[in-house]
Amino acid sequence: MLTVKNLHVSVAGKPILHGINLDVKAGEVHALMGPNGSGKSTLANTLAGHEDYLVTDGEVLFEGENLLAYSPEERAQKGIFLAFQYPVEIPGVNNMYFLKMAVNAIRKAQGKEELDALDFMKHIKATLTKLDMEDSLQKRDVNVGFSGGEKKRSEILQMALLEPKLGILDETDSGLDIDALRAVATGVNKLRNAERAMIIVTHYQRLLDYIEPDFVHVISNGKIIRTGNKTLALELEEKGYGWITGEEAA
Amino acid sequence: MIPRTEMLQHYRTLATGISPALPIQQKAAMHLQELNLPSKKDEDWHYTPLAPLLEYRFAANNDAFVEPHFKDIKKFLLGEQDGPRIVLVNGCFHPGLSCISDTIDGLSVGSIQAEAVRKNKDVTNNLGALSGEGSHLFSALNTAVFNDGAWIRIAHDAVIEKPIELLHLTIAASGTPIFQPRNLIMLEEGASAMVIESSVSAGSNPCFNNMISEIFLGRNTGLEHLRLQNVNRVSRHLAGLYIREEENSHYHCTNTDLGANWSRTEFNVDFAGENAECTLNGLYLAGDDQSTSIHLNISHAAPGCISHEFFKGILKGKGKAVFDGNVIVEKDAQKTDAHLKNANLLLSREAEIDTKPVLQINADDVQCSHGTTVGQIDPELLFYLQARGIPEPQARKMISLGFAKEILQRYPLPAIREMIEGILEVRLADIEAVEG
Amino acid sequence: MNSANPSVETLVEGGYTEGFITEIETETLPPGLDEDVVRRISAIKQEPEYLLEKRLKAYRHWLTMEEPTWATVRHPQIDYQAISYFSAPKSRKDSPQSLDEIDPEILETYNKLGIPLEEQKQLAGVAVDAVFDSVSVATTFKKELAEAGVIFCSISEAIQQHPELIKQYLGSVVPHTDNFFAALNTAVFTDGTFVYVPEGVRCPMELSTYFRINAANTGQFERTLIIADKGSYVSYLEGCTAPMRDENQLHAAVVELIALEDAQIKYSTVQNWYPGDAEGRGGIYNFVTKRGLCKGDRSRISWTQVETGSAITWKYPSCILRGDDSIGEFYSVAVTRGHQQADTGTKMLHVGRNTRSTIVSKGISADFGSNAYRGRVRMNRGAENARNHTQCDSLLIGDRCAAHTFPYIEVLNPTAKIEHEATTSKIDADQLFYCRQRGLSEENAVSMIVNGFCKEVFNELPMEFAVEARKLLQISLEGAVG
Repeated sequence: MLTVKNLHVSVAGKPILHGINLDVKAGEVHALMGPNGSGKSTLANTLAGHEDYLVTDGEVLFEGENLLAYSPEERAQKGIFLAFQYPVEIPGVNNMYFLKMAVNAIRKAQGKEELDALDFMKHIKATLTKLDMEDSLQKRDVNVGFSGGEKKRSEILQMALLEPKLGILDETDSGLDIDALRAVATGVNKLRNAERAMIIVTHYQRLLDYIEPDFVHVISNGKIIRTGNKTLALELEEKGYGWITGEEAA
Repeated sequence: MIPRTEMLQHYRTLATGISPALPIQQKAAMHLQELNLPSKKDEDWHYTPLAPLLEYRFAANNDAFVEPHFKDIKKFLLGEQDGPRIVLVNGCFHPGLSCISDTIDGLSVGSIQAEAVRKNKDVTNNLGALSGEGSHLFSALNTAVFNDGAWIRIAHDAVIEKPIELLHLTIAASGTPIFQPRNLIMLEEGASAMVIESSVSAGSNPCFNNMISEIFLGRNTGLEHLRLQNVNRVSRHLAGLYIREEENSHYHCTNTDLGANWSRTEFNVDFAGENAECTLNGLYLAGDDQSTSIHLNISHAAPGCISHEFFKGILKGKGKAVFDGNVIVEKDAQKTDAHLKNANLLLSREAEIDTKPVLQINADDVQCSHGTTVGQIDPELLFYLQARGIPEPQARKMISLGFAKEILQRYPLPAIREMIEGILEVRLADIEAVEG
Repeated sequence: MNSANPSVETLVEGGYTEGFITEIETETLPPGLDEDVVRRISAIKQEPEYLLEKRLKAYRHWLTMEEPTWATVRHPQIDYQAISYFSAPKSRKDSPQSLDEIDPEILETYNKLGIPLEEQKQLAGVAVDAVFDSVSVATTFKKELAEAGVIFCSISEAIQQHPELIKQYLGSVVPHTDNFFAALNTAVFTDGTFVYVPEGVRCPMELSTYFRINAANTGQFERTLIIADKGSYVSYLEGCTAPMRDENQLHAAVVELIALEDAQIKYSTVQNWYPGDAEGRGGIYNFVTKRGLCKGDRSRISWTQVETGSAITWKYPSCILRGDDSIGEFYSVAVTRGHQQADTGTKMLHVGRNTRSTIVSKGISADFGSNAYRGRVRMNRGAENARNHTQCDSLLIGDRCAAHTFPYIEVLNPTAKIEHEATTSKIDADQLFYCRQRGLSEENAVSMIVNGFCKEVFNELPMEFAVEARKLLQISLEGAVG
């Protein structure tokens, strides 16, 4: 589904990624781990098409197409979803309205019929039930005044509503207490299926206690330096990143 | 009150019949003949009270004054006793009281008149380069016929550790004199320094201090400018500051106006290079029959510059204050970061504050804001202090002092902070409750 | 009458006695302005002597005034002699009583603008008094209003039918000496709206007027007067659009509101006049004086405006808070695109005790647009415990536009409290990326974020207006993303 070849990326003139190679197939869950500043979030933002992230070399294929040629919204419409590390607040914009706009923009691009207000309500209700979530956030403005946990839960709800082919979770676990972490993980697990791939970017192993990855990659200094299965994550937890990177423990 | 036309004629006459040394002075003298007295219709003077300027015919004063001794000025000094010091008495450089030995590497100071006579290129090339011929009658008047003033130059990469003290002392024993000092401060590339500038008076007669300072900050320079104005309460005091900042320069000024019957301080900051920064902090107190005006003209002409202005005012008695802050972001001055704040505490029925924080933005990638508040002492706070046993008048003073402290603590030198606090202690001791 | 030109006097009076009035429908005065024109307007309107005197006084005062130049707007010199000061639309002989009697071409214009009168008529609770080229052509729902005792008519009619109210209140809030355009309006106003809500009456419906400018070279000088008597409530909606045209048109309306004890007036405007073409040619000059007087204790006046049109907008809907505990509000969204210029804001004059005012101003500049907020808040000596809160935010789209903020704050009472905040920035890049990552096009994302930015103001609009305003904002910003 996703093939990343020799990807080099610079931010504000500073090279961050130095040749990332990654192959993600439908149905797989990949965990991307690494110390702070290793380039994990850079990869996530680059895949989503953030303009501050400049690809200087390499290529990214998504379902056989050159992903880098597309704008952020086109990538979203093709089925890439990024759960943000810091979901941004948009004052004055009602969450429900925002979600309906997003869902219909994607449906329209995919040649599906747009949902009217009633069908959208049904869709959101069904999704909330599926994720075992409450809908208390929908009447508020997008992310405005949300707690850290609410923001992340809202991101997972969005992922469920937009039904992406590839979900990228950028440090979704950061700053969450154990209950929120569990709620987020439960949501993610319910969204796993044979057609959908996920990349979970995380610093800590603890999220992986709840979401079992098929592959674990360790990224350091802009390169993937080790790939393994979930035992690699456990080893990392025990020994620290220094064990692999050859540096002092992070 | 003297009629405006007469007053205008009076000021014009002050600049006639003399032959100034510099071409800019001649231009200013000519320009003066075309300028009018400031009026309410001039946007820059809209709120500034003008009547106090029509009370006396302030005139050039050639009377001899009592020669001050070091012991007379000691109480005004804020820097180190053996540090570099320039004392201007009635606008003129006083060699006896000044301390300008050339022992500090990279620092040159002197009398601006003397330097002009010596044809010092700093003076001949740069005097008036920022102020121009004068944007109003008084700045033109100063430019045309200034008395004397300080010339300060910090050499390339020199870091002057000791604060440089600049004391403006006026002694008006008789008459109603006008004094017009003119300062020039130049920091060459990479230089840094601290200047403490205070204006005080020894006499009790009304005088008019009409001063201008031009400050040139080269690339990668840093200037800490600590100012205090506490002249006698019958004088008029007009200070025009013109600052040009080259690339990556830093100008930090903390300014307090306490004295004068009428005062007006004008900050003109011009960003000429990228990534320069300017921080202006100010405190003003206007009590009975005092008026004080602060005018800011911050021009972001270069991209990536930062300016933060924060002024607080306390008004009591029949005091009146004006805050007129203008931040202009020119086209292409992208990545500008400008924040303007003004807060005022109104302590009496007769006091008045007029505030006008203006933003003019002509570039899009900017972060600009301004905020203004006007209010009285928070009754909740007052009650809290009273509940802790503090008598009401003292509680009022504490709260007002606390209000001022936010600015005072920005003075990087305790001596000046403590002096101002001492004055405020006295001036704020008699705050009465505002009757409902 | 003591005219210096007896021949004109004769002409006017002659016209009057010979049933001049029947010819009004087709009459358009030739361009130009002098005392005779003022007299003719007054005569056409069959006005009482005192009103003519008022007009002449205003005209003579206007001659001594200079056009204001202090606003941050630039425009070519207006030739006041090239403007025609009275025109009437072609219509049937008698005033139409129903839509069937309206000129089909006029109805067609409304249809093109997407606000057909038929639909409006059916809009529950909305009465329509449409001003077309200075003269009322349609009034509906008059009956229901009459039953409630509400007077809702053209100002010409009010001058005839309710002379005591006109005499007492016309010019009482905006005197002819107030400013250049108010003086001009007082001299030459042709028509406008009059509303009187009697004591204790809650006006049973939203009142609405759609202003149109249509005839070439016709300046519009509407005069609106709304009086809310003790304990009454009225919500008035004003919306404007104008068809495409080449020449600049002057619009200098005067609106006066008077709220007596415990009365409340809500005045909402959506202004979308022709802004000129992409090069800045043409477009309406909108120089309006709007002022409300909170005359009685506990009275309240709210101004809400959405300004997206006109080449130049110059207006400061203001409140004089004279009654104790009275409240003044100003909510504004102003969009400038192309070469549009807007200099708008408000004045809140606090006179009475415990008076409150709120100002929320949202300015959006794109392309070469220039947007200025100019506001004055004054706390008089007697404004005990008065409060003001002001929030001015500017959003910049593109690097050639401009946003200015000029607040004037004057406080003479130590128990008064003022808070003023202003911000200027471009659309947040992170917000934009977030929306695009969720599949929204850049344009839709901008539109959504801008709508969110304006929400506080839209919330103040009556429901049907809020929908229209949102649509208008979206259309106004089409293609603005740089």
